[in-house]
Amino acid sequence: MTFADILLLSGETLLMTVLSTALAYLFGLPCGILLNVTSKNGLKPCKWLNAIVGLIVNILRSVPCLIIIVLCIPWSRAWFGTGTGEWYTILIPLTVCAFGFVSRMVEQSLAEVPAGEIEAVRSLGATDFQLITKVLLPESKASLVTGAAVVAVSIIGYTSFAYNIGAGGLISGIYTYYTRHTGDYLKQSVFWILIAVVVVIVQLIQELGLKLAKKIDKRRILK
Amino acid sequence: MIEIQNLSKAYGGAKEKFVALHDVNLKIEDGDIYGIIGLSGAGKSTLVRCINLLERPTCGKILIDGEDLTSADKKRLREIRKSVSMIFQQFNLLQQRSVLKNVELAGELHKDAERKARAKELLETVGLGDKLDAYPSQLSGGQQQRVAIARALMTNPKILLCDEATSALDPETTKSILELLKELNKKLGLTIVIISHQMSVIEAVCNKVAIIDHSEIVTQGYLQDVFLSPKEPIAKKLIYAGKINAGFRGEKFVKLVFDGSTDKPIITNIIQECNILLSIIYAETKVINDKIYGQTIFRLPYYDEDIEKLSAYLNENGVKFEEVDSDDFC
Repeated sequence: MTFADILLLSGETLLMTVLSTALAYLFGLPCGILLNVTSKNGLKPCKWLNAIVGLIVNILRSVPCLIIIVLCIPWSRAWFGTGTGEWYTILIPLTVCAFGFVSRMVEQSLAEVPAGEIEAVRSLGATDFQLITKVLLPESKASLVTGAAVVAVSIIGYTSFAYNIGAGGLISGIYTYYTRHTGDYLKQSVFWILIAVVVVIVQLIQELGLKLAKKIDKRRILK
Repeated sequence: MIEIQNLSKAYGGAKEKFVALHDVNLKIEDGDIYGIIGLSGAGKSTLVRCINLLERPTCGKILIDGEDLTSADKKRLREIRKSVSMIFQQFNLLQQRSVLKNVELAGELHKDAERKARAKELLETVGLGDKLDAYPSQLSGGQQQRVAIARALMTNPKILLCDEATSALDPETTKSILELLKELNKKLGLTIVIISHQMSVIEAVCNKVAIIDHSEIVTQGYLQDVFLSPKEPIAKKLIYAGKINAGFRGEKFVKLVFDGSTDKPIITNIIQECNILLSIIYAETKVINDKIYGQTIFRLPYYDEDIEKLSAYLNENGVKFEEVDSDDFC
């Protein structure tokens, strides 16, 4: 395995992770907002809607990722022409896997916004929509960013399943390497280098997320 | 003018009903600084939050200048809320916005193009013209409350509701915030409703007061009337609590109220001319609405012998007095 190979595998993993995270947020953010807004202490409590959306999210979260990947093969085939074998065939299933998780993370972040802040802005004559865009989202931005880093790290974990549909990436690369060197893989430096790259990527995302969150958070800046 | 008519608020279902307010009637005139005082859990916070419908009453009406809030539609309600602003105990500033942006917010909500200039002007008014770019976490409690006041004034309100607005502040800061409120009342003709559990806060700024106890308004009226001659047990408790030694149980006392109607040295005369022995157990003067009021409570060692002589003298000189029981204030 050459340096170029490692770079290519890392690129695939990063692409899968970043795109799936972005897609998961594209759908999960509105869903998380909906869950928060319709919850008992939300802006517009709506028991039945909250229960239905919550149920869908919970079901999606309880189906193991590997099963979702298998279930999504026909979907990918319909959209991309192929359900397996290419890096992008993992995008739909990873998005579906992370969607429920993202929804709950967003819901949680929004719930951290102090009720008093919402009330104060409501008393100024804000509409519910303004409360979402001017209070809920901006006030929870640090928590949302931290959440996104956690989601991205989880999605890197999920990219392991790319092995099962031959979608490539670093982790399935490591596994493939093992299958070819079952006898002495632990003694191979390449095997360890690949693992180190995964660890570095995870740390990078984690750190970047935390740094960014800290930077944009104005709650604890020095006087 | 705010008129609250037969207002009730209950929480929970039929099974576990909790009544927070019961049949409240209040009238707050334009330009009043109206204090509502009560112990924790009396319902005062619920009451003030009903005035801008942050809390929807179970029944009753809230009329602002004759318009009933409870029957206004959503759009109209948002419009009315512009004229009824509110400040809070915990200030409730948006933590991720700078001071200036916090004040501008009200303008953003109502598409006010002049918001930036106006926000700066208001921050100048509350004395924070040099903190525009600071964030709430960098400010002291008093400064945060000033920002909240500026934010509340952005919509040009006629009424300002203060929900325990000074309860999280130290006495010095409390004083300065109350001074500011008084100034705004005079300068802008702002009607102010102050909810507090502290007598000192109400005393310092209000011209009228209502006492709320166990979800009901017990008494209401001009500050001097309620404060100088409290009648109801809860009023007495709130006004004298902790001020008089609780050791005097089961005794009778005499309370004098001075309202500036005589300039005779009354107490000296009681002792010298009437030859009555007395010891003062409580005395204070208060400036209420720019008039000085005083009250003195004293103990007569020979109560039964002296009381008639004393009342004759006081009546003759037009001094208001009352015979009170130690249970009234201990």
